[in-house]
Parts: sequence; structure tokens; C-alpha cells
Amino acid sequence: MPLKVKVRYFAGLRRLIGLKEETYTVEEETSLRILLMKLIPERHGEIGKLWMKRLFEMSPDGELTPHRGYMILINGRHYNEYAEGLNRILRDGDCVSILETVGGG
Amino acid sequence: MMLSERELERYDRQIMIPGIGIEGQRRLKSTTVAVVGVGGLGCPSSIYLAAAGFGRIILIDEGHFELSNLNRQIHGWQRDIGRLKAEVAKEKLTALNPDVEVETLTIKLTEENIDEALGEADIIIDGLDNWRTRFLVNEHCVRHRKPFIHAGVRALYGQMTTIKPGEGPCLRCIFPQNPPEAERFPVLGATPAFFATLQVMEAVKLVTGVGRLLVGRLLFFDGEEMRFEIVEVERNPNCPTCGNL
Repeated sequence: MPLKVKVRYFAGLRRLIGLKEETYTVEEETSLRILLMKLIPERHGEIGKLWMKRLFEMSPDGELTPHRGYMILINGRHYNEYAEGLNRILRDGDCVSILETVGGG
Repeated sequence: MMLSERELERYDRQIMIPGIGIEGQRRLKSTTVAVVGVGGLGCPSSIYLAAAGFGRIILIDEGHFELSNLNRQIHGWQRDIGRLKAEVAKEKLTALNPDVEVETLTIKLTEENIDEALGEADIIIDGLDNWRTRFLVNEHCVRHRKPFIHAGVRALYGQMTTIKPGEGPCLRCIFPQNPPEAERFPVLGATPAFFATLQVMEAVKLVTGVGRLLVGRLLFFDGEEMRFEIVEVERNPNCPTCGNL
């Protein structure tokens, strides 16, 4: 049965995508990784390419990983706090928030 | 702690606030606050802390004012270029409110000196421009169960939260990985000033018990769109910093 997942964008990403939030209907067993790296960029076409460039960076072991300047939360908890990390399987009603974090003072 | 006639008059308008009163003002007077970093956040926060009557303010910064600081670090006036930020700030705060005690520590916080530097502070206000020291302060605050009012800014954007160790997430729960450091970042003075005044509001609420704190909530402000957002954030039971509380 398809599940509904809400995605909320903040600051620069909100301006990039042009939306405050949107809903994705995903198949069971869809991971956070698939949502961020496939479903969101596919839905947004050309902007999706910029999305990938901005949100991801190459880790030292050569894997695409979310840029450390962004914080990705699933229901208020950083994705890294879930044992499966980016491979966390999304559940019906999950809210994914993608925030820019800034450190100046 | 008693309030003098002069203090009762000076703080009259905030004593009128339900929940503060004379008792709340007395509590503010007996509270020691440390402002870590006297920059874009720390300059305005220290002004409002002094004006609100926090009895003792410890200013920590080893830096000197440079011309490029002056769009936001408002204790620094043209004549202050080259002078120690903490010392300049102390002069101005004492001139604003001689009833508060201001101390300066012109040091760089390290693992070795942090417990001594912040030992007497009841509340720590984030005025930092780097994550490495923020996490050091976070660890001190968790070790000593002390509130830490975090803010970070860039350009017209920023975020803040109030950390009460054991009650809500600590900075490490919220940021499991250190965000990247930026040596030189764009910023409009009004952005840190805005967050600094909210930090002071949280500090007053912490001491007086007025209202609801930003514990477990991250507040984002996007000045380009004039939009506030609040995101609920949870404790990480496996947090390497506060997981054992």
C-alpha cells in the first residue's frame, strides 16, 4: 500500500524548490536515500540537478552523502540517529525536514 | 538579594510584567550569565542582559575590534578599533548600568580552561562563530546541568534553541556531526542582533519561569522571507554527550 510522506524545505532550499512543503506518495520499503536522491530530484526536473549539487557532497570514501551544512530530520530526529541512517525505511505520515544550519555569530 | 530604590525605578517596566515582579527581578540580580564570544551576537546580547539587570555578566573573548566587525559588533565604535572586545564591552555595559557587575576573560576557551572559565556562570549565552567551541561549551553545560542558549547566523538567516541538559536535546543530539566551519561569512548586523535579543528573552524566562522555553525546539528565522519556523527536536538516547543523563 502506498504511503504518504511530507517533506518540508527551509531557507535556500525552499527558494530553490519554490515550495514550503510537499507530499510524496511512496511505495512500501522506500528509504530516505531514495526520497532525497531520486524522488525529489525527479519531480523537480532541472532544479533537481541543482538540488543534488547543493545537498550532497562526496565523502572521503567516495560516496555521495548529505552536505554537513544541512540537517535532515525525520520526525524531529537527525537521520543519523536512526541505526539505518540514510537507509531508514520511510513510514506512513513521516515528516522529513531539510534545514540549513548556520554557525556565524 | 535586595533591590535599591534606583534599581526598582530602572526596572519598573519589566517588573510590571506578570510573572516577573520584584521577586523575578531579584532573581535576575542574583544570576551570573556568561556571554561566550563578544561579536555580532555577544555585543547586543550583553547590552540587553545588562539593561535587564542580570547581576553579573562574564564576557569571554580574546579578540580585538577590527573595522570589518563594526557592521554588527555594536560595542565596537570607530575609536575602539584595535582594542580588546571584552574590555570595550565592559566599559559600555558599566556606563549603561552601573548596578551590574561585568567581568572579562580575554582567553580562548579550551578543554583545559572551560570548567574554570564558566564555573561560576548559571547560564551560558552563545556568541560564538565556530562549532568546535560550541560543542565544548555544550559538553561543559551537560556536565554541570547548566542551560545553554544557542544561536547561529549567516546573512539574513539563523537558528536558535535553548538547551537544558536532561530535559531536552543537547547540541550534540541536534547536530550529531559537526557542521562545516566558515572562516568569513556574510552577515547583516540586524540578523545577530535579532537572535541576541531572543537569547536574552530566553535567559529571562529561564530565571523567572515566565512562558515556555525553546527547549526541544529549533527556531529558524529567514529574514529574506520574514518567516519563522519551529521544528521540534528530540533527545538522542544514544547521544555521546548527554545520553547518560
